[in-house]
Amino acid sequence: MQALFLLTLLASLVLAHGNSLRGVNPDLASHYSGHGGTFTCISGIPKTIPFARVNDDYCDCPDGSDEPGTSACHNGRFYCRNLGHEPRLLASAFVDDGVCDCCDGADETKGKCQNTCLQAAAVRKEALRGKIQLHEHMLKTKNDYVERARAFKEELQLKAPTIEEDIARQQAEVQNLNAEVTRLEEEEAARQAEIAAANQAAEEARRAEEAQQTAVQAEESGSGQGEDAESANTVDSHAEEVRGESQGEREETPEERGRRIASQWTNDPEAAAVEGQTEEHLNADDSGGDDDDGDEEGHYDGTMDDDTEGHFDYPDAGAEHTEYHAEGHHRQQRPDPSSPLGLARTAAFTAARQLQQLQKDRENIGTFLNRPIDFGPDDIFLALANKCFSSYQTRWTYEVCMFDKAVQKEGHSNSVTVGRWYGFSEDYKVMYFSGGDECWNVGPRSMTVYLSCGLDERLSDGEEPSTCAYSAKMTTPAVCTQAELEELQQQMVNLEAFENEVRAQIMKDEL
Amino acid sequence: SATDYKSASPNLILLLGFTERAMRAAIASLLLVVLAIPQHAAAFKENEFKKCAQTSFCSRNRNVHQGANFDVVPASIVLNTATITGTLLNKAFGKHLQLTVTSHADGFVRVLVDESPSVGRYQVPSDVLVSGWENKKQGFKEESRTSAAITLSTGETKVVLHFQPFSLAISVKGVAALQINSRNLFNFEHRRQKQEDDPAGYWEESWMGHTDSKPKGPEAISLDLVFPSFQHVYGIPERATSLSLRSTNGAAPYGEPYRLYNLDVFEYLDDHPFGLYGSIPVMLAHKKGLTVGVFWLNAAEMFVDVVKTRSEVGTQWIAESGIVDLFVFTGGSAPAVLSSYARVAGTTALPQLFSLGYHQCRWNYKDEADVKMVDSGFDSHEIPYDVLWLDIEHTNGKRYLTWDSSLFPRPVEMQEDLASRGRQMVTIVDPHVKRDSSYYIFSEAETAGHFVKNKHGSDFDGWCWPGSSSYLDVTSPVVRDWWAQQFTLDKYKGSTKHLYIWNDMNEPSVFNGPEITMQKDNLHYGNVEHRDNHNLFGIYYHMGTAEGLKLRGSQVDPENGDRPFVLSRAFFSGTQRVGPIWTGDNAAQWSHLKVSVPMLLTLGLTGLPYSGADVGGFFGNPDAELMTRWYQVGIYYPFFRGHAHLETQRREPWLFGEDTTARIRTAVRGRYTLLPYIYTLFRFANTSGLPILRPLWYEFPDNEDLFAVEEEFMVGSAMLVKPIVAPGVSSVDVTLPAGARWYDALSGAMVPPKTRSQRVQVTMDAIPVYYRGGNIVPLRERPRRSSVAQAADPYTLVVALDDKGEASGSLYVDDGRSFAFQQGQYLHRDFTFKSLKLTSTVRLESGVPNGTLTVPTTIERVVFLGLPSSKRGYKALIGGKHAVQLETGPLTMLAPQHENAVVLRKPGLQVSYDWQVEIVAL
Repeated sequence: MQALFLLTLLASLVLAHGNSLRGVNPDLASHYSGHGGTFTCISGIPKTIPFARVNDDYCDCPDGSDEPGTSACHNGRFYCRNLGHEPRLLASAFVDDGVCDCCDGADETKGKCQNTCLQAAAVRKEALRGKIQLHEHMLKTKNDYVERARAFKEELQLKAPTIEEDIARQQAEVQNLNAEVTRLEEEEAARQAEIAAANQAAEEARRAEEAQQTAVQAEESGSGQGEDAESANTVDSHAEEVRGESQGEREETPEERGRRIASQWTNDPEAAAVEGQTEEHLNADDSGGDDDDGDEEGHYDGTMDDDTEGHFDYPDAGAEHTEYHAEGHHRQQRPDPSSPLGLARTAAFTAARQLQQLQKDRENIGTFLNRPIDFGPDDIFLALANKCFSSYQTRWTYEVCMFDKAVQKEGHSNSVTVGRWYGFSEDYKVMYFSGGDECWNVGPRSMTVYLSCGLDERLSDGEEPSTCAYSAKMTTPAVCTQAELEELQQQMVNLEAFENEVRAQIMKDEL
Repeated sequence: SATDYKSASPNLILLLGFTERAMRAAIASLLLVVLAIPQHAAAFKENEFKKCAQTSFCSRNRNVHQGANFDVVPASIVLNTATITGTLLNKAFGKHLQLTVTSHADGFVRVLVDESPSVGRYQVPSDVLVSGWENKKQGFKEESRTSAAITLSTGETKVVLHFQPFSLAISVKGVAALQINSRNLFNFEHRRQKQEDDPAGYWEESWMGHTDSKPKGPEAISLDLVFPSFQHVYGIPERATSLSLRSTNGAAPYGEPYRLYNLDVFEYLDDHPFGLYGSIPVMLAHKKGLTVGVFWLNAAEMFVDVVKTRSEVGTQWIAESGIVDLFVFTGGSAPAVLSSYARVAGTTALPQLFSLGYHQCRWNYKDEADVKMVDSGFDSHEIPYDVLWLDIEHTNGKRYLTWDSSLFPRPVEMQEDLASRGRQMVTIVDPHVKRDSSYYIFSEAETAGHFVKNKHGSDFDGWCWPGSSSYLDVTSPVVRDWWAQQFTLDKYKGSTKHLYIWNDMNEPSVFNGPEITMQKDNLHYGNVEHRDNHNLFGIYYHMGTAEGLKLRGSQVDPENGDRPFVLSRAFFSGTQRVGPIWTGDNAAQWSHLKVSVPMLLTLGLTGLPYSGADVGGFFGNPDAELMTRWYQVGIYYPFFRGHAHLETQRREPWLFGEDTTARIRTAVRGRYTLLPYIYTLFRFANTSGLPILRPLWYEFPDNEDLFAVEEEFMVGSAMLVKPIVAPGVSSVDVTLPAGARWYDALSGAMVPPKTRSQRVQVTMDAIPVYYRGGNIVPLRERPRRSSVAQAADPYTLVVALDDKGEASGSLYVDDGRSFAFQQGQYLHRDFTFKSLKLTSTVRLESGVPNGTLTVPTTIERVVFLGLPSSKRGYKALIGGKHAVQLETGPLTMLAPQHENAVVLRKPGLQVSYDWQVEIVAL
């Protein structure tokens, strides 16, 4: 395509030399020979006019072809030669309108515009050189992907036949080890309880003395100063009740009324909010959710502190479905790791971790081996299995998880599923996510991700071009092609040849 | 950038945990649903706005016959040349009123009624109107006086004042024009002391949790205005209703009086007497042979009943406070009435030429990249446009006159880039000021005491986009002056001389106030209650902003200045002197496209022609067909802007498929083609107060069949437009009034007029538009990227002949931007075609300096429509000698297949000079 363009241009160089008519497209130059002193409109209603009427700043031809070099026709086309860069067909409307549209400035009166074509060309050549190098590198990466995908698939195939047995065996093992831990913990607990009881008795005696002195103060300040989590929770849920009640029965405050009216226009409770306030509400409301996460996906009730190792990760197990985090409610004094309890816990922990791995394997087998998902030619996109990519926009973050779903987030609080994995376009240049969360007045949200050849996976330009239909661009070496490289190389060859031609032409012109 | 699971910290994983996120999403969407559902159950929630029966001052006057209580005291009558004064006695209370009737030379009679002695009732300040109009009076002649009445005449107007009870009858050229209090519906509630047994609503009134304290008690006025033997009245905008106003004693919703109370109405209905964002208390009545106009200068809440009978149109106007200051325009015709009204309220400010191009708006163009994309989209799709708009999201937290620096880090470069292609930018600036002491506008205004006060005298605090807000008390000239200074380039950071302003929410809109506006007992400058001047808030804010741009212009170009461009939503009589308005938050529905026409025609008939409706409809998503039809009509809106709500799908003109893009391109280019004609019409609006869009009856005042027609309209006197306002239309009925010749504006074919309408085939490509014979219309046919880029282009003259083979028209040209035209830096040519001679002469008008501008522009094409056929064709003698052969050709290259015109090709005529072209049959 590009090559053709340049060839045409080369041909035009010769033609243009012998033709002084402004704005003529070299492809159509034969029409403007002036033979017989007439001009015939090129297309549309047949019409022949005296040749003197060509480019006389009056539109005679319905197709605009008699005025290639003026703005007289509403549908005319002006050809910029843009010597040294790329030619361009410009709408006649932009000819002699005071704006430099062509890099050679031919669309405006002489002297109005600077010729920027050679600069444009030089920049382009440099960019082209870089592009070629990059592309070579990307193709190498692409080959690695194919290899990685193959290895991933082979490994799953290897594990697949025995996975259920392996898991069952490991579950038994974990169970045994956990039982041992429980037994040892009970022993330990009993021991701790004895110590605690003794301590508490002493403590209570001391407190009883203090209590009388501080009671008055505490009441006045009105702050219970809840020292343990339980009392804090009570306060929280109480506040919640109050809020719930008040919304139903109490009259609106002026602020609430303002917010409600504002939200008419925006369908958004935060519309007229002072920054952050509603967000805080949301946070407060769902803070209880943490404890209800359930154990359905291998929740490990470890006893380790959050800050040591709260989660397990696995090679290539990037999906966030499974979450492993230690809960605080077993928090106890940590036993000596070399004690029998310590050793038993470590063993149970290691075994559980191996079970997680096996379960992850089973999930991967289920997802990537047994489901009819199209992973692209040579299964290349399997190299991206379980990976998520994010695009950080000014306000929103978009996250796309391969073969899973796409999410839009605002801050840390609001997150909306904008689509679930649907598949690739036929040419693997587009990924579709559909059936996301419902959107007011529109239906389920959806997201389209446009793939292009790039050095690595980068999600960008996440946006919402129309309501609840999202889009983003993503680069990946997986869609790079040899043909593109060859095209670039050919462009370089053409460009260099063309440059020489132009140089010669300019030298000739200067002589 | 991949979120790599391996490297993520445990805390992050916790935060992003799936189940937790799902939970959050669920809670968030639950909240959204809970909040959203009740609000969208109904659009315009009728019960959130007051009706007459729920409003004390209206319900105690509507249809209440108290007018017989008022007598003129005959002995009190004094005639002093142009003024007659007398005392009105309210027999029910023994209270006196002063009646003053004055005759003015500019074609109107003014009727004033106030308490006597004066108790300081509110009068609209003189700066709302033009200055000096009061002085040009025309003496009354006493025709007769009896014990029952006195009869006066002034020019062709006769005024009869009846004494018992008080009533006034005005006739013009012997034709009855107006009667005041002929149905005894007049009332004037005097100021009084509070009594124990006062009826409820006298001293306090509650509505939806808001209590209005009424420290001055009842002070309403009811005006009984009857238009005898008329059937049609027009005016009293703003509302989405028919052109010819319907009776208000009919079925719901037309059992309610029309209301004049500037309000921000969410999702307004397309056919309802309810009042919207602006108020002009002006009404025109028209019958064959006579048009009469009335204007009640009063800015308080007002209800207007219209009751039509076979013999008359009776109207009752009830205002909550103020005085009677009624202008009766007696010029006899609609143009005369509008010219007279313009002498009082002013004419349309001559707009910047760019502002008559196409405006592209959206809530919101998100950031600089978005702006660039939209701008280049117009060029790549070859659609002209002049102005790109930024809505509220461009600001830093709705602090107007600031920028969200993460979205718009380089606003100056952005504007300069647009300007390099001849384009301008508009930002929104609203009257609510975020209460944030770190915001300079707030802190300066607070320190200086520039805010409206609540009834306790402290700064009023209401809720709007930024949250808690105060409102600039723009009724104060000091505050307006301070406000104007905020627009100079050094004050408004990130602004350039290419930036103009949009004033929204200036009713004022207060989200948590009664009926989404301010409490009536709030206090303004001079201790004026908001009740008294509510309808002025919008115009005063608009004025202050426009003054700001004028001030900036005088700094940028000290010699000639820069005409302000400020779009407003709220308005009042006089807004035309300040800037354009638009019809607010309409919807992407065919019915809203349809009602936009009568709405704009009504504004034109009440002195505010520079107005438009949002093309495409603000709320909702128009489909390609609605979008196409809306653009095809929208190009004739005096103010032509596409706009869309935050949550609508993107709708730049090229997003509806190639066919639609092509149609919208043709439409928008058509607007640019018409700019010389439209700008010339604006010149007439500027000098004489004439409307741009006109109902058919305005142009054909004797054709009774046309008096209620709103399905078609005229653009000036030369073009008739038939909007298509329904989907799937392949043919329409078009009424082409008899007594004129009509030419299809695309094919140039003559269409015979018929007394009844005729069926016309249509496609999606265009709506029916016609040139009216007898007119010469100047065009610029080269489609440029903006109006600025057209500046040097040659003109085409379309000469559409009438039955006598004659036509006339004119072309107004100036620099399109400065005030230099006021010093005569303009060119105005009259073109006439008579006896086969086309002549260009200078147009001279009294009251304006003669034009001294010359431009190098030529006329490239003269197109004759309706020349009698000549076998061997025609030649043109230019300047008496140089002969050119005329050609048969198309009216426009948009329809080159129709060769219905005779075309003078490249005559080389200079627009700046006198010339004559003689057409000679060969």
